[in-house]
Amino acid sequence: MKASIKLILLFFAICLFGSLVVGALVVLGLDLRVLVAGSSRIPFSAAFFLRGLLTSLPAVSVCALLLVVFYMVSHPAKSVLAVIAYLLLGALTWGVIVPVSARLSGYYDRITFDWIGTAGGEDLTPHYFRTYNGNVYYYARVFRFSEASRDMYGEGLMIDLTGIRGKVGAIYSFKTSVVIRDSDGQFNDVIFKEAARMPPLVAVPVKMYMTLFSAAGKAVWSGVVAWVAFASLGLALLASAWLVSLSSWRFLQVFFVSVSELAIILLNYIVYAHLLFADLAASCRELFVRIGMGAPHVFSGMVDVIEPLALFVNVACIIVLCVLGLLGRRFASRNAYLSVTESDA
Amino acid sequence: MKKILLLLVAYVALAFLVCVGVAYGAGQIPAVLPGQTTKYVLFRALFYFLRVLPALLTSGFLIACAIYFGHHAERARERFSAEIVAHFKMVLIASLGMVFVLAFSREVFVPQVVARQKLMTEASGLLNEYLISGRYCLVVKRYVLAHEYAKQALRLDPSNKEAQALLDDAERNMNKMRPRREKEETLTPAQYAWGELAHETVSSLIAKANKAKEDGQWFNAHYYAQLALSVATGADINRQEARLLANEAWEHLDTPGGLVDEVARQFYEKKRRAYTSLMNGDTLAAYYAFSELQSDRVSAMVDPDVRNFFEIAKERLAAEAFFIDETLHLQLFEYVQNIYFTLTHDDGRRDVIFIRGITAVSNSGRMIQYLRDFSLYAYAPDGTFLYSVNTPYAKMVAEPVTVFDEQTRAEHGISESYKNVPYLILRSVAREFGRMKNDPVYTFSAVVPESNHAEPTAMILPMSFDDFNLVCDAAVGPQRMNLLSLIRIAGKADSFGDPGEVFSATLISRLTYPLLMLIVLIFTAAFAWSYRVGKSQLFKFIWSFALPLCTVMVYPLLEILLYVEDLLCYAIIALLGQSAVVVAILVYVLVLCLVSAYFLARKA
Repeated sequence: MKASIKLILLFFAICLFGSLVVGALVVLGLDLRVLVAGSSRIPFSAAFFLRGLLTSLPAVSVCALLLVVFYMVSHPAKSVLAVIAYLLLGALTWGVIVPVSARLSGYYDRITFDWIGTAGGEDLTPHYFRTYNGNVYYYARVFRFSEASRDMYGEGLMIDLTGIRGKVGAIYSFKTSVVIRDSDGQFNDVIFKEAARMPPLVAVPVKMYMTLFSAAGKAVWSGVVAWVAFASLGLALLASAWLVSLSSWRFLQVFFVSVSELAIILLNYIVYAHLLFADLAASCRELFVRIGMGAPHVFSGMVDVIEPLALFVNVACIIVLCVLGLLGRRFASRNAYLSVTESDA
Repeated sequence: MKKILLLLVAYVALAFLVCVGVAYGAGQIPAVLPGQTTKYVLFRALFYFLRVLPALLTSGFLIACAIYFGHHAERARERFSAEIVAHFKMVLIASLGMVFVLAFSREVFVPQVVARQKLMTEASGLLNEYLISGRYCLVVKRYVLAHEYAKQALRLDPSNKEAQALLDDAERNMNKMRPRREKEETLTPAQYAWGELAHETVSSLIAKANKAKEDGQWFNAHYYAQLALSVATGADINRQEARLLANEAWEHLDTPGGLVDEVARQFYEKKRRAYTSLMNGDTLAAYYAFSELQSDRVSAMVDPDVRNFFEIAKERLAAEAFFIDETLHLQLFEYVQNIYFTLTHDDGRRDVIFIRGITAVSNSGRMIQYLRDFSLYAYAPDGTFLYSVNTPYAKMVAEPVTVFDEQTRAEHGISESYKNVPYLILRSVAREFGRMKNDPVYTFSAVVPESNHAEPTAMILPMSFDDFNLVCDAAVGPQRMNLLSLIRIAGKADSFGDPGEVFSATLISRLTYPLLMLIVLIFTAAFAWSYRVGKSQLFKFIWSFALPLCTVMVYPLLEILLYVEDLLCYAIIALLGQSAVVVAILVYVLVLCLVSAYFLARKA
């Protein structure tokens, strides 16, 4: 009982702490978008913090579930209650936390864009060198023609380091020129674009997560059945805990669980991002519609929203994990029996 | 413990071999010098290896600790026990060792390896250019430069026979020449015009003029009397005597006696014209005239005036111009390119400076440098353009602040705390009369009245010479620049037009990297304690295959951690400004203490 309460407390503590930290990091990431060199101003928006918190909550709770498995491995209680607590926490994650976050984040998305619009209106500071498309710009002064105008102009110079205007290394002085802006419109000051650029090994997991989160958002707005189909991912992730029986070394136990969870997430991402298996996915969709012939109103309308191949992949994963877990358990009991027999002999 | 260490070393060695394999397979090998393909691949492998080294060591340490603690954890039955403290000491020592390797690798090895790789890819083209330029210099009798090209070529390819032959030829020719001729190759940075007045007073100059008068050396008498006049103030009682002496000497120069024939008369006329140019401030004309007289060796030898005033003209010329041929093919030796920075004057004016490339004179310790395509754009405090100056080459020397008087220091915004300041000569001239010269091109805005259209051929940058070198170091960016330079520039980056936030955040990130890795390693050890091998378990060989997979998982985790750290650095900078570095280090130390306490709270 004590162990299961500890597990629940641990889960909530990780969710709370993790969400706060990730929410704060998301705000920081946004601050770099609105920051202007020399202004040293970091704006804070409670709405954006909430958006970051809500967007990250599913990821944090899935990680918290993984850490709960870690805890169970390092503190083996051999209690059924602990397993029940784990399953309940899984149900809470995939039945409440993920769908609620996915539903609310859409609302906060709109607020975020409004906030970037207002916070990002700060004037560009003069007297800094800014590199843009390989060339260097310097503004001695920055001005607007009228208070109401959004366009900002600058007097200064441009150092042509790419030869775009003829000679490499030439300097072009200008009296009135529209100030440079990030071509993607994401950064208020291009100086911080490079600083905030995510390295590929950070950008890829974030992209994977956002793809899955977006799929969750679509599924949650498409009804219970669609959500259950998406939540098969959660079931597969929960099932990876079976793999603790594959080794007697605790490190390998948690290692196997982590690797299998990563593999399941990667497979789902590949399917949802349509990176591979395009033909297979199309066949699955066809099969899915055919299965639902008796109730076309339930299935055929959802084919565009949910990805049947992901459902099949997750079910296959669950089966494989269960089989591996059972085999591992059987192998472990046999080893234990043999070692007892040997010691008796 | 030995077995574990052996396992770790074997794993790291194996990882290096894998990196070599990947380096062979990864992409096309660029054109390098013959025989350097293997070396290039090894450097590429080393680069990959150093990139994954943190993940390799962390994952290796994790497994090693998990095995070690499995057999040595049982006695630590209570939190903060003596046994766990002993384990902590071992973990700390091992972690510090690894942190040292990682920090050294990040700050020293990686930049070196990148630089070597870059040099190897450029070597093929560079070697060719060095040899062609070297041979050309040999033909035009620029032996010192030819020698330098040969040395650079041999640095790239020590076994190159052509480069060795070029070096031998250059050395042979240099030895043939008199040492004095070699010294005259360039205009050496003396004390410039101020050197003539060093340790002199009005009285001492008048005494010298009187002495010259007594000896019948009227050029010297006039020269010293004029110098005395130039330094004497209006109230100086010696002023009148200096003027009388100058007038008397000039009369003698006007009506010379003892000119025996027409040749002597013509020689004297030329000498007087050259001297007049020198006194009228036309240093270049004086230099060419005295140079012509100097070439008439017989006359020059019997006339000490020509030798003396040629030296004075040369010294004065060095303050306002240098020879164009000094900059011949210098671009190949540039140590930094595309340098841009701003300088703020006391009155709020800002100068924006851009230099395409800088070559330092060898063995000068960067005290003499040639600046290619030097441009300066001056802006008023309100941001209005005032004027610009451009020159194809500028020569810069580190001038001690002590040579400037108080008024000059105030005029140029030179702080007394500076040791040296960059003195720039913007004009370059041909060594021989009648050839081309490069004068700085000034462009003035309409807001500047014509009376202020001064076009000096030399200027002093209102910054310390150390700061100039710092700005050059910063041209490669805060991530790649030398850490010591970054420490020095971070606090004042804004004043040079660089974003202080980026420089300070990078500084914090680079300074705290060892602490961050120490925290990671101690946390890894604590994690390993919780998932250690069982007391009675034997480590199975098959388990070791988890090690590479573990590295693969740790690598992105470390990347994410470093990225998050970067974001936090910006937040700390924005919140705390200049004190952010100290606070960040304190925060890291606090986290280190917490992680250490977490480890010490482990028990069997």
